[in-house]
Amino acid sequence: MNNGAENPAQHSRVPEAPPAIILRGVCKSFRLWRGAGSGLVSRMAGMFSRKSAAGGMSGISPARKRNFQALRNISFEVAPGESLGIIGRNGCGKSTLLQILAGLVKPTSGSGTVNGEVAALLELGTGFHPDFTGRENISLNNAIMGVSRAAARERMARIEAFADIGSFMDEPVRTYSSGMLLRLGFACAVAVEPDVFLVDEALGVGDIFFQQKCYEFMRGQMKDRTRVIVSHDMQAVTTFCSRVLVLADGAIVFDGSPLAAVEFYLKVLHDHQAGGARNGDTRARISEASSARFVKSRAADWRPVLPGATGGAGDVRIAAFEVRVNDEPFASAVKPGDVVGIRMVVDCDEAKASLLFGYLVRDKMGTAIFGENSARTAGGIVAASAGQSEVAFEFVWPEVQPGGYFLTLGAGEGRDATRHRIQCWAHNLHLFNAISPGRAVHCLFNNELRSFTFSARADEPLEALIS
Amino acid sequence: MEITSRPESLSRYLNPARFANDLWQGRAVLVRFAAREVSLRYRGARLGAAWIFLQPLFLLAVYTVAFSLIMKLKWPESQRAGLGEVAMAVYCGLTAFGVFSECASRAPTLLMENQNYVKRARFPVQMLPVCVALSASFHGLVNLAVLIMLGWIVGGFYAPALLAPIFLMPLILLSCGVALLLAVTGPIFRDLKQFIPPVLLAISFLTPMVYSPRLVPERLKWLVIGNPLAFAITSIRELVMWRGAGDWAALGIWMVIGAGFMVGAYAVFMRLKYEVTDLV
Repeated sequence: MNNGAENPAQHSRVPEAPPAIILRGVCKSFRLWRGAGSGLVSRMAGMFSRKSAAGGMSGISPARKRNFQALRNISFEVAPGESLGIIGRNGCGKSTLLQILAGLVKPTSGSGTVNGEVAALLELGTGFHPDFTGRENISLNNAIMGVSRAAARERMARIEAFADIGSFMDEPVRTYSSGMLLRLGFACAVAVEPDVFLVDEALGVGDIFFQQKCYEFMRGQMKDRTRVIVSHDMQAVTTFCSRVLVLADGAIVFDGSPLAAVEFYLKVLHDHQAGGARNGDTRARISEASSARFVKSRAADWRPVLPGATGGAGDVRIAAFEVRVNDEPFASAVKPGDVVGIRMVVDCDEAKASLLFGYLVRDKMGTAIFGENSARTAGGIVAASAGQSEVAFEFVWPEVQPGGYFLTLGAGEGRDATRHRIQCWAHNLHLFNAISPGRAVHCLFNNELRSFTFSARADEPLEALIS
Repeated sequence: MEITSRPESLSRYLNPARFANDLWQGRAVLVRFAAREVSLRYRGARLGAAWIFLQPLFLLAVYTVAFSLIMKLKWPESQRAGLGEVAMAVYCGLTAFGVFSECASRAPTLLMENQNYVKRARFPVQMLPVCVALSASFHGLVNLAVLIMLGWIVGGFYAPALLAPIFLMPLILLSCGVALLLAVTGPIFRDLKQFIPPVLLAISFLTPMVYSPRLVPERLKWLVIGNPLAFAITSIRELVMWRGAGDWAALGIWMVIGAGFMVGAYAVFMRLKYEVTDLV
């Protein structure tokens, strides 16, 4: 349509739209009163004790009133249309942060702005009166928001279609299952067509189809709107978010790409579970680049296998093991194609002529999913002398359903892959958090279609074919 | 939307126009919640409707027997002062007192009972105490209607009795204010709900609910003069039972006091709303 002469104005930059969310130095602390201390008399006593404590006297027990710091100095900006994920352990302040963004809770200090209309799905059944029906609750919410009659009717129709709970729409909300509450809650929240949409962990409750429907809706029809999602589902966060914050103890410890954030989070979690104060101050804000440096500078992650935790004959024992993913220790997140390296220190009571070693991966239910042993590998059956030896092997993580998987390591005596004497089984040594960014795994694993054709049928009737 | 740690300002909400606007904005909540409460109370119509009045009737019977038969209280307003008349005078008292006591008893735990709305949804929480006051007032007006009709049955039609609801208004406004105030302080001072019943009991005896205000000695007259409950009760009795006229001047003063208290309580509620959310 251009007649050759280019309009210079077309190439001028569109001025940057103001950020959808800005937070500056937001802190939130709650005062926790110990049990009986919430009474009037105790509070007055507490007030007096504060004065006496200030005056240097010992006063009444100072632990009566504790300050719980839920959020520390949170500052970040979210551009309009961005899809932000927030992950972190339970109790790290994610829900409080969303409540502040939704305007339900005031921060103790700090300030911020949220531009545009905000809708929040913070907890199941939020904002629904249990004794009113679904329809009455929707109409009440419409009325609270001051929606005109015509718009309210249209909105009701849209919510009813999206939620798809059938006749339960006219039943009291207290009869709803949690899945139905999610359906109704999500449908109501998005019907508002908000500029900023906040979701707090609620999506995990729905059935897989509705979850997919929600995520697809957020990715498709809401792609120009700002979304903030708090989730424990690492797969969802890596697939649907363009940026992820990791929170720990109320502070932002990571801000960057979803994959790096998930890997960082799982490492921090791993250290926490291993009883590590090795990390130092997890509250220090770490950028992507320095986190990579932080990880690689660590030494190997050898972990002991407790004698009582193994099964098998026991002449050969697995004493310690190390798991690496793509040659990095302390890794828990795995994607299809990652190289998993296993090293074991094996203790033999006596010299053995033929030993083989292997691994097994089970899902969260304990079902064995895949595994292999070294009998099928060249040089996989070895002779060992008494004492300690080191075993190392690698395998590639396959394209399996994302989720949690447990590693089991084994040592056996013999020459056959399946018939050998089991010397040592060490179960559930390590948790893998498998993710599959950008590629959906339909069931347990994908099996591709080998061929596919489609064509119009000739006049031959179907009956002739079948009979 | 601005996120700020600055507390809400009290003066911003000490504005009757703002309160009225807030009520208008929240009218959906007011109507539906109050309607639901009323329908719950009067549900199971056939026996239920009678049941609503059984409780005050029972109280009525007990008070009448105790104060009139046993203690032989006199009623200077009326010459005859038969049992029926005494009962009706006490019923007037109970009606007015009922509005106030329902608001005062339900308010302290109101926010804790509605955590769903307080902590997790964009909801005009200040409407909740107002709903309590509305439903209590509705019940009070129903009782008043019964009283007016009884008065007509006994003494013939008397049009000014229809003005009685107007004289109940200052008490309604005051009760609304009390509901707002107690609702917001309830989560802060959790022992409050323990203090309410004895305080209400004290008020019920220090107010001419079961006796005539003229029996109160001079040095304790301030209990009656400065008491909005007393004003409502005596006005209702005057209009419904003894064919008097209402004291319009006093009504004007009490209306202003009631409205002022209500707006003041609203301002305190809005000022403390966010602080209290954390405590609920």
